[in-house]
Amino acid sequence: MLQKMYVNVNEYMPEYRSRAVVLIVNSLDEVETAAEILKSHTHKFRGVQLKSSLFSTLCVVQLEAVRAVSIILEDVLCLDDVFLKCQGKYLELIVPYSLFDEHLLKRCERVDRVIVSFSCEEELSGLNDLFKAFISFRRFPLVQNVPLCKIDVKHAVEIYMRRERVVAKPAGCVGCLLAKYCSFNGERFVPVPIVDSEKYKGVLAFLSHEDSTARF
Amino acid sequence: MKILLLGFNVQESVFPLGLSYLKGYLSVHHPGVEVELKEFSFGNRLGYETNKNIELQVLSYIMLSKPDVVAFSNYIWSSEMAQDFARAIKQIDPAITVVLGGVEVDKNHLKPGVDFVITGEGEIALNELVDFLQGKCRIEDVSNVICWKEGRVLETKKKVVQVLDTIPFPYKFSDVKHFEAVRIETSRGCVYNCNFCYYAQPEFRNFSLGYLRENLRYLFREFSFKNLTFIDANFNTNSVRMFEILDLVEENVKEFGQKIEVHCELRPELIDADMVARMSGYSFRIRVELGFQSSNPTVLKLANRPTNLVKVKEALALLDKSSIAYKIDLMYGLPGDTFFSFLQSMRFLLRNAIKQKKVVAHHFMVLNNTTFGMQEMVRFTPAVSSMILKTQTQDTLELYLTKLFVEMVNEELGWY
Repeated sequence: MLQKMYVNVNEYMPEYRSRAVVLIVNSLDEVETAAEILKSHTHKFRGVQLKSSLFSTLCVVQLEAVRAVSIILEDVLCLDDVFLKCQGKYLELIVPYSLFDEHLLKRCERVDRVIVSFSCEEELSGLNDLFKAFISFRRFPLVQNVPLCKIDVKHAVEIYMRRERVVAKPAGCVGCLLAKYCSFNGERFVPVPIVDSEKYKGVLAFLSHEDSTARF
Repeated sequence: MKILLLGFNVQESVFPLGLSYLKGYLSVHHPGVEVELKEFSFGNRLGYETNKNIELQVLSYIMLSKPDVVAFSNYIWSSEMAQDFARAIKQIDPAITVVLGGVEVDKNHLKPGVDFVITGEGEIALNELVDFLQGKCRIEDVSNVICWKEGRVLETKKKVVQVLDTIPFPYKFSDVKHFEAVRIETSRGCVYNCNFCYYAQPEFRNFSLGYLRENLRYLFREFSFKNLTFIDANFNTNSVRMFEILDLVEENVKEFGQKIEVHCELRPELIDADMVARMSGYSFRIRVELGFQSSNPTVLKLANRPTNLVKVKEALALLDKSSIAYKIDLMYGLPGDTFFSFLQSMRFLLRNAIKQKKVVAHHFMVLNNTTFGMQEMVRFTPAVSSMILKTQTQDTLELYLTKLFVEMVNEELGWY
């Protein structure tokens, strides 16, 4: 996100070596492959992204070549293990909104980047309180998996992270100016297509000038 | 008569240039007047105890100094505080005359406790004010002054020093001979006229090369320092003259064996390959600051800052290949800017200012006495220079989010 690019392990190409990369890892086998890839990666930002359950099975040695870790948090119990193994590394947490409480927020202050993931429209009622919490510990609030028509788009990770594949959209999204940037797949939200090009001209101009995998 | 010139600086061990100009000018024109100069450095004013300390420290110093006149030189970080000091001084000793000066002040600073406000350049004005205080002229004859007279605010004629060489070299009046950083003006004013800046308000004038030759030699001979900063708004406006001055520095560096870094501000569009090559050839290290602010045409137009982005790109590419260190800044919150248009300015820098490796961005501060400062703008503290709170295109929350976004990007870039 932002300067770095996310790539599936099996889609990594040698020309990515000099770029900031986060390899998306889905299994133990891929952990080994990712470690091998990153050993010959020349950019200093060498990262992996994986679910917390998979992360908890790893030992510190397996993370030696890794300088950045992006963890999709599945429960808060693994946080001590995450902090211990990620000492001296860039740490990004992707946290389901349902896991958030004051205790977790406090612990997130030591994380380099927190992205909150939403799963249904009802959760959006807590958005303002969440943003207040982010402001309180001086972090830019970032969310993902929220239809872009439902939030202030500057907070959507999808705006800053280019996708190679456009997510298929339901009929309710027809005509939406930001459809190809939105991660909404038709479930648990009621979309309202964005059609006001004047209101969204700033973000559209920003998106139209991209010419690299990352948007900066 | 005794005059105490007081200033506040956020840094320590930096030569107090502005106050020293005043001291030098008064010493020549009023040799009988005792002039004391004192600059306080308050660094980070954190916490209640710190605040109490500097307030009491300064007032105690004034009491021990026993001046007839206290004159404050003000900048963005001190003009509000100086008004509080003025009130406090009158409570301690009503006989002391209090003067506020500096680029910051205007008629809004004529608050209780303040006897005179000096706007614009201070040398001639303070000199003439001393004449008035000694009964030698009328207040109406004093330049650049705002004061109360017969229940009304009196604002006198404006005047600048036409021949800069008539100003004594300020370093000749300093007993302290070692500073981390010394600063020099080779000109005053600016040929550009950006709406957020004050530099262009007084007309553009140069110190002569003869003046600079003689006094740079004095500076190198008598002082030790690590950093020499040319504080001209755009040092490369006249590149021939810039190199004549840098050649003088080189002569002195070689003769006196000082190991220094030279710091100056350049207009990026005026940088070319020859300039970079020649600047790279000096024996001292050069660090340049490039004013940029935005890549957005609407924002630049509203700020009256025409910018050729192609030339800026070319300049950055040249600097990236050279040994010259640089810093290029952005400003968020300028009229006409938005969150996403600012992100495009960020993207421009991240793609072109390769050596910088981070985004340097400042919250737009509305400065008094600038074109923007004279327009209706919502500031945090009305009447004194302070940060913009909202514009027609951005609200307060969006401005803060911009700051947080910049910090987030820089946090990530720190790992690159």
